[in-house]
Amino acid sequence: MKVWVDPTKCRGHALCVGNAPEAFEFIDLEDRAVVRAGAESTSEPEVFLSAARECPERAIIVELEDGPGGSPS
Amino acid sequence: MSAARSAVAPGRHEIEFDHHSPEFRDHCPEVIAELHASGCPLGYSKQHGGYWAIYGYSAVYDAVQNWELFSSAHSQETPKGVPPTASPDPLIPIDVDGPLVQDFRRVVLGWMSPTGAKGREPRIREIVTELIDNFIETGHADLCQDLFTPLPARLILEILGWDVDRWPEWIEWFHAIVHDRTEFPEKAEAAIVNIHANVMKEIEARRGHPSNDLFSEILQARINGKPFTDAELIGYANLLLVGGMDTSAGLMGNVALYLDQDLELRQRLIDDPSLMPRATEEFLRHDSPAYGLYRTVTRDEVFHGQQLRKGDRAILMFPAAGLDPSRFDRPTEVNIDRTSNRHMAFGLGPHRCLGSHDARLIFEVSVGEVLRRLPDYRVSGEVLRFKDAGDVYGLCSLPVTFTPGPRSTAAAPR
Repeated sequence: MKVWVDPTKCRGHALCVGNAPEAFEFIDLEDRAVVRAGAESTSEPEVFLSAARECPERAIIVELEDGPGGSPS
Repeated sequence: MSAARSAVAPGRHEIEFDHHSPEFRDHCPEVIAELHASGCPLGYSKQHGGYWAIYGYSAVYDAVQNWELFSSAHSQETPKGVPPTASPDPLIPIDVDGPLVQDFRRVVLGWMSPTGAKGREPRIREIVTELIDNFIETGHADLCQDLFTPLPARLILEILGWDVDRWPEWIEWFHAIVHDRTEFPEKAEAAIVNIHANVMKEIEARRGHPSNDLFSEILQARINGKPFTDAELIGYANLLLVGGMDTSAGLMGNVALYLDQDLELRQRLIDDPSLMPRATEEFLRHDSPAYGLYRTVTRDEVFHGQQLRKGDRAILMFPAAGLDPSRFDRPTEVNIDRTSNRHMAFGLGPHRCLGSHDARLIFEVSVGEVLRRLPDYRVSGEVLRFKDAGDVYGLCSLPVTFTPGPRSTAAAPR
């Protein structure tokens, strides 16, 4: 599984950070969230899929091993 | 014609609609439902010289991401808004386009970030406690005037480092700008003069004597190497003030009124306060007050099947997008168990509400404390909405009664 927050789409709503602080962290002075280092291996896929579903900017991309999943529209 | 969502523009979808009308104020959910039922995500109203109302979820999403087509810019030559705002100078950075938006936002990111907001939570709690203490022993209150209005107003004045005791004056001026600008433009203009003079006073007080408040930091900031001009400082301060003073109060009032009708949900939130974050997102979707966000069309283009013309004005109705039945199942019902809740209450894109992290905290603490300390409150008199709800759909008066309770802290000496 590969997860990242698209920096060109993230606008700093911080819902992912609020809902799953173990998986995402916020860079205050850049007004955006990133995936915590190593979180792909320590957090369940559903944590990321759920964050992608809730992201209002559709900025969280999830690639499961069997192909791209990601931000449902 | 450039690439567009629809190859042809059919006849213009015209709507009988005026977001400044008493009908919108008194029947907002029904009016929005009717717009969605038309099947077209935007419509053209002939009121106020003509404008587009954009309310469908995908149309609002697409419009907000495309700032080159839907400009946020405001100037005296090309005034923005429906009707055009009374303020001659742009609010900053909400009336700005392009990379400059982020340059201006960067100045306050540290203060307005999730960390910055979280650091203020104890202070938010203190103010809420003090405001509730002021009325808890009497068994009656006006939740809007005694709690929801003063709370965010005091907080933003504290953050700026301005005189907190003057919050009623600032509130009066900003309410005039937001709620009187269409019907009584002279009141809005007088308020602008007062605001201008008072912001200038705060600027003068800090020149050469910076303090460690947010406004001093803004005064020392550089945008591309240059300090703010006075007009930019006024536009910047105005946006922080109006953002802080009107919208979060509007949300809290709308929700306190809703929870007078849905006693089952009220009890659930009292029994399990850990549901508040979920509930907050659902209330943001269902009860957001922030309607008056405007754009100006920059070129002729077909958008979601409608022919836009250069210079057309538009309102991006973010709260209406949250009530779109094509995106949300039974959108007019409050359901805190929704599996997905991608609302747009804080806007999207480059202008996402900078105060959103504070707003969520203010809401959760304040409504949470109301439910904890006056759990049996009931609306006891006439509920008043601001006469013009077109920009901010909120209450100005919500009288309630409840079983009196004890103060949390000793009464302040008089």
